[in-house]
Amino acid sequence: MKKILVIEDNPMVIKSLQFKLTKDGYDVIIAPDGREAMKLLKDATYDLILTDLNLPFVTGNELIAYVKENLQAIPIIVLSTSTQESIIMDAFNMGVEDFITKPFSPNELSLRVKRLLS
Amino acid sequence: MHKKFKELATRHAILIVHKDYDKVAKLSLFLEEHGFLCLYAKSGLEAFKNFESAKDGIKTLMMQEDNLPIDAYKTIDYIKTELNQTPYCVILKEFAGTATNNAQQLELIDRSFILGEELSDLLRDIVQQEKTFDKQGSCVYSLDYLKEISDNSTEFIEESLQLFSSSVAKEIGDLYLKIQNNNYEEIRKIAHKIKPSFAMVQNHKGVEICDQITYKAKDGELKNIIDDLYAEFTNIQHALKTDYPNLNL
Repeated sequence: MKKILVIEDNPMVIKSLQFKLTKDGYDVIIAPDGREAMKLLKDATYDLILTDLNLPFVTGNELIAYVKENLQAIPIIVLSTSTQESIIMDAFNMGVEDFITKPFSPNELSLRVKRLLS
Repeated sequence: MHKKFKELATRHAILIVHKDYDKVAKLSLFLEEHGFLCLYAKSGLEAFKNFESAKDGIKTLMMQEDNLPIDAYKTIDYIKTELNQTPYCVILKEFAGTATNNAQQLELIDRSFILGEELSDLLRDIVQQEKTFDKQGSCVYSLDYLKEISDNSTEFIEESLQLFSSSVAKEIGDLYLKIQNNNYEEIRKIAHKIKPSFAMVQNHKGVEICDQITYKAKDGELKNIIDDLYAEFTNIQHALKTDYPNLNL
């Protein structure tokens, strides 16, 4: 079973992602902030990361930089409320594979996750 | 059928129930001319089917008082108690004084209308009740998104509503604490964080206010805008408590 690390601090979004991705057949691990995510990334391996950008303690950008430097094989999808072009461009410039705005379309999420994990 | 449901979602639908269409044709045309979607049924039994298939899409019911085999009062009682729908209910009479109304019957209806009377007063009342309906909050949230994510899982939807209630209440409390300390950066972060919660219950005003706090408002304006956000949250809470009395909200 493919393992997805979800880094998100909004409880409603967490619940939705967990429900949808579990239903799609993935093992979903939740980190409510960037610091917890860093710990989890050091202790286990993941097939995909879904992360918010505005996170407590360690920001999404810091986390992306860490993954791209140390765990290059893990693809990253950014989940953000922001639709500002500069924020989206910054994320892609850091090397993320995809960007989804919140609240996400469930079908779109399924397709994009599947594409990166296939 | 698909087109009909799409129209139900976007236009105020009125179901007119009368055994003789000719007697309500003028009323129906008048309402259509004013932008309403008029549906027609011959009897209470047909009305039940319409209400069941429209799923809250019918906002107003106008029914012939002495329709057979089920009169207007029994029909309305069934729609309210068994189908759990609360349309604006208008009794249509042939002339003043038909059928005796007792207090219990009158409680079920919102107004009566004598066919042939001036239509503009009726129109004014329907428009007025539509505004009240919006203001009171039955429309301040929608479950469509949560249903889409969960394929209509009642458990998921109810748990999500409880999460909305508890988590947003906590964050708004934090907003008030931060404003006391003039911690504007944190206020903007919190508003950004709770924006998707409002979006997920499809409350567009809450989303807009969160955007205002995060990106547009000046520091000095934040206190009033937080008050607006709290007021909108209270509206949603009130509507949810009314619609889901069993949930611990």
